[in-house]
Amino acid sequence: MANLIESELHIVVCPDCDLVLERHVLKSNEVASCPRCGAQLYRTKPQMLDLTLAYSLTGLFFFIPANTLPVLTFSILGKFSTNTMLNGAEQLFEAGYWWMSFLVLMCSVVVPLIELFLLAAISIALKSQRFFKAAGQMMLLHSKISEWSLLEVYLLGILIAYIKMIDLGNVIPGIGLLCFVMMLASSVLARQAFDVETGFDILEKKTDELCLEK
Amino acid sequence: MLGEVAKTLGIARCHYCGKACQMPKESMENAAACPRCGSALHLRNFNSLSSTWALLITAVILFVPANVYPVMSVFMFGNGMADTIISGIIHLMHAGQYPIAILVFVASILVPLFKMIGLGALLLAVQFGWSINRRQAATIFRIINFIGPWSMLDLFMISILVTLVNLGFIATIQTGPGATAFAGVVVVTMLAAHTFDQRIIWDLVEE
Repeated sequence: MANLIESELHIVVCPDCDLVLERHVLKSNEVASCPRCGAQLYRTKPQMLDLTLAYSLTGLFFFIPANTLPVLTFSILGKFSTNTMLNGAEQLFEAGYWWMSFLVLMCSVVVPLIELFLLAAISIALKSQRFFKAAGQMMLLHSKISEWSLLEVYLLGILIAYIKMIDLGNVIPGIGLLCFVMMLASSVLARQAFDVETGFDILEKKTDELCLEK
Repeated sequence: MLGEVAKTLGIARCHYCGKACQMPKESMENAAACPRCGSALHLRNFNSLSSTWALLITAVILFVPANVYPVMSVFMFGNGMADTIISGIIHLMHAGQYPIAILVFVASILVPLFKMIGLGALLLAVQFGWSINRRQAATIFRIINFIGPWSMLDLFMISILVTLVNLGFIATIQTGPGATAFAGVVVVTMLAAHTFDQRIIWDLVEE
């Protein structure tokens, strides 16, 4: 057990089945998986920070129009009403369904915004080699909240609402829907471009280098 | 050392940053922090079984009001009609909208049922130390984790419809109490999948 500290760098523990395995050097875009349970162990991410930054900034760009412009408009007998991402949660809150309103607001607006913001901030911090402590904390926060970002489920919800209402009246997709799809696509790409363990590897390497310089 | 289970060597993988860490001898169970990211280290999640049981039972209880009470009411020209999840699906089928009926049925009935039965079976296997096909059990758990969020579909659809169809006397859609309970089922089952430590599946004996 005494030599464990030295060999620590060369082992990897499977997150799903707890098996101790040897860490190999991968070629770009290769993925290592566990021989026992098939879980993904580690992967290489070429240009991880650049891609994450580009996608997350694109997502942030579309965030405000996606949330404030009409996604769908419903009209019947000359009267019409519109739906935006934000007023769905607002309407539920006014009707007294504060718990549902909170959940919809969190999963479709707040968490996706925080996620995009964190991914952009993490890549900037790691690229500029500053704010290491903040970068670590942001990566932890990101891995805790990211599973509650449910934009892709929301898109399917829009689709079903559209098909359901098409028999009753006139449903027109709005410009907000286009912005929403763009935001969804960039946030999925940003999430896929980023890998939290690679992020911590970069952080660790850079902090070690700084310590050696001093 | 390679090919052994990390727990038997006193090594814990950090849940957040993935670093393999040697647990200090005096605190083999808990109370160690990852040297890289500062998160708490556990050889196995603390109280994983009892927390998951508690959340699962909560989900089963909430599933009853979620299906008994209406989730949505549609008012057209003053005539109201309240729909539970199941009656909503039946109405969709009568209207000939089979693809959506199937989608809503899968997202709102099948997915929560599969999650609850699957997690229940895994918990029983661990609780009583059954010998199981571990790879299959791990696959079931991965499916549970993957499909979890998709049962939010119905709730998002309702939140869209209440604002979209808001024309006073002509047509209005309102939420019902069943939706609140259903939202509870979705969140609680997602949390249950989160507290379940899948490494305990691999601590069981292979069939």
